[in-house]
Amino acid sequence: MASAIQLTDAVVRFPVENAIVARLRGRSPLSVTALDGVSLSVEKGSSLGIVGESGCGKSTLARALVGLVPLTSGRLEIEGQAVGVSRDPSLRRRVQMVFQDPSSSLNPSRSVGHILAELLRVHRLVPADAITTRCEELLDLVQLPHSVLGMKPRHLSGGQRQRVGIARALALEAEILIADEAVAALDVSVQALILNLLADLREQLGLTLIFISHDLSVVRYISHTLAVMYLGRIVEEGSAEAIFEECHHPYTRALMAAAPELYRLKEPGASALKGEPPSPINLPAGCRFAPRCPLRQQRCQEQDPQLTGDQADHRAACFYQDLVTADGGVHHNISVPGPSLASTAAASQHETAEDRSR
Amino acid sequence: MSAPTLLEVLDMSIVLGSGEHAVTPVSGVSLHVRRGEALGIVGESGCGKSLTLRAIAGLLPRNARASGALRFAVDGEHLVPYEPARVRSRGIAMIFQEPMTALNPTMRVGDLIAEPMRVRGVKRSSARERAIELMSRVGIPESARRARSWPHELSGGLRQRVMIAAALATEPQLILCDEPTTALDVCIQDQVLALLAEQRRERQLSIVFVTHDLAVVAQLCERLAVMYAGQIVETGATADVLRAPAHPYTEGLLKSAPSFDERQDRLSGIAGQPPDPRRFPAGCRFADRCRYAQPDCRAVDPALGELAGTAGRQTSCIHPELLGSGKAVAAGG
Repeated sequence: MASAIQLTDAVVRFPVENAIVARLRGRSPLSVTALDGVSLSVEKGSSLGIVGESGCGKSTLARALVGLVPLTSGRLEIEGQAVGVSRDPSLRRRVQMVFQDPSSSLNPSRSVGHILAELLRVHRLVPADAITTRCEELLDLVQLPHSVLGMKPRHLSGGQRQRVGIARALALEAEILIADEAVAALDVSVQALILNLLADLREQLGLTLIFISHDLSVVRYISHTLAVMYLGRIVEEGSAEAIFEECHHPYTRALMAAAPELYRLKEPGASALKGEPPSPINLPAGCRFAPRCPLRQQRCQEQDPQLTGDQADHRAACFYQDLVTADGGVHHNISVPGPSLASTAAASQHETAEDRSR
Repeated sequence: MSAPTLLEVLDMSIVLGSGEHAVTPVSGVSLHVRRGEALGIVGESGCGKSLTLRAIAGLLPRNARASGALRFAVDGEHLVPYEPARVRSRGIAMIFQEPMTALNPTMRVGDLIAEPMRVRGVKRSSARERAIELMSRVGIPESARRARSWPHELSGGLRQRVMIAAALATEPQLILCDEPTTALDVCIQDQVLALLAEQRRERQLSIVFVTHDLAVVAQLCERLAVMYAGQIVETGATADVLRAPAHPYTEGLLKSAPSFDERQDRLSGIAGQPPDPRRFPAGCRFADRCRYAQPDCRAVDPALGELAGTAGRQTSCIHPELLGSGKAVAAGG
């Protein structure tokens, strides 16, 4: 199938000091490399999940895809058309973003009806007399009552506001929806409903979804393919099923080991990942995960690993990816034990608590 | 036998404001924590879990009034009524969600950790030494150098460690945690949870851990209380509650949480919104969103009661037998 959106070798750098000051000091200005050679491609109608910790560049990636951040170098194609300096407004309209915090991304002094109608008017999407009908259709799509049209964002709950945020993106007849931590601020019961809505809309309207999150379980629920990012690079990519089945990068493994689970007691600190990511201003030579990697070898500090893999749909940027799965410390590979194991584990926790009190 | 009770909260209600504008975001909460035990309080935003915790620590906002009884075993053995403000930093310590706003930005972190010891009359030099020692205990590398850093110079994970070190400086028996890992990345969250578990093991620390994340509670706490609309709706051993929830709200929460162990086809979520604390409905406060709601749910004010045939399990649902029976009725019906 054709790819809806394709990014090739994207680099985004942000200057962190004034260029003139740097020149006066006789050196080139310092910059942060937020994205460093990221390539990805999403098939039409499918969904890609992007996970990583804060500062890994996942939000910059999202903003670069919508055009909110210019690429320092690299190439972005939307449905085969290169997006360049002179952006075709209709091309831009097709990629829309759903933000994390709908209360700060919706105009607080306008009613929902006004917010939606303005978009339709500015982009001349429907004739003036059909605007109200279209607004009502949009609310139906995101399962909100029509009465919401007269309300201002502050009168709505967090979940309802996020639905308005989605309706706003759909108003522009978006084909590619980029959700940047769109459910992170919501309570779990509401989060479930918004995730279901996004999954339904994808199927119903044939949307392409790029879902960015720090939460592995959310990403697993919603995505077909998955990209794991670390310090501006994709370190592992492939079908979500394959990665959750058997990950090939030590960072992915650490993320999975660190994520708390409901029905399985893990030893806290099991991720074995010490410290925090290095500063993106002074990146280490070689593999940038090497300073924190439990599998680190001499070679990792000298050479920079590229994305490779045996299967076409599963690649990782690690020289020793075979060791990741061979290592017995892989937590998520144990077959799902169900609640019974959790109870015995918790029971033993009780015993230790009692032992202590004796 | 089980350990002695360290903290007891009996029938606590919190009223915000006064006169006709008064609201009661927390009503009739009772709970207890044993020595060396970790209790999780789980609920969604606005359910009153943080207010409850602040009332225990005596950190309620000025316009809030708490009623009910608070008792704390100051000597570790006998429960006595206490004045929260006097016990705080002498037996009860608290750590917060946002270390940046909770740490004084104008003090070096070493002084921040030493301050509670100084207040108790420890000499400056020994307080400083002890602060550096505490910092290495909570896993801050190069603690002697880091003690001279300002809070803004540290990363989120290190700040949270400083806060834990400052809390431990008073050698508390109980640590109150208000979502301390919510703002952190999973790997850092894992490290902080490991640190709390280790401190708990080492010094028989009791923990009350407030969070919205059931999975974190499943990892850290052996007992669990679920709050909804200002009331505790279910309590019990964490494993038992997770395996067989006895309140429809707990069941809804569990069914809403995506898992990365297996891919689910559909999450259920809980339709509707929690009630407005200004107008709590009569009867069960969850009835309007409940899949199992019966006519008598709105007639009877449910009280937390022992679940038949269990030890230490309590639920406020008057029809716990309907859960999992497949007899769901349309929500709001």
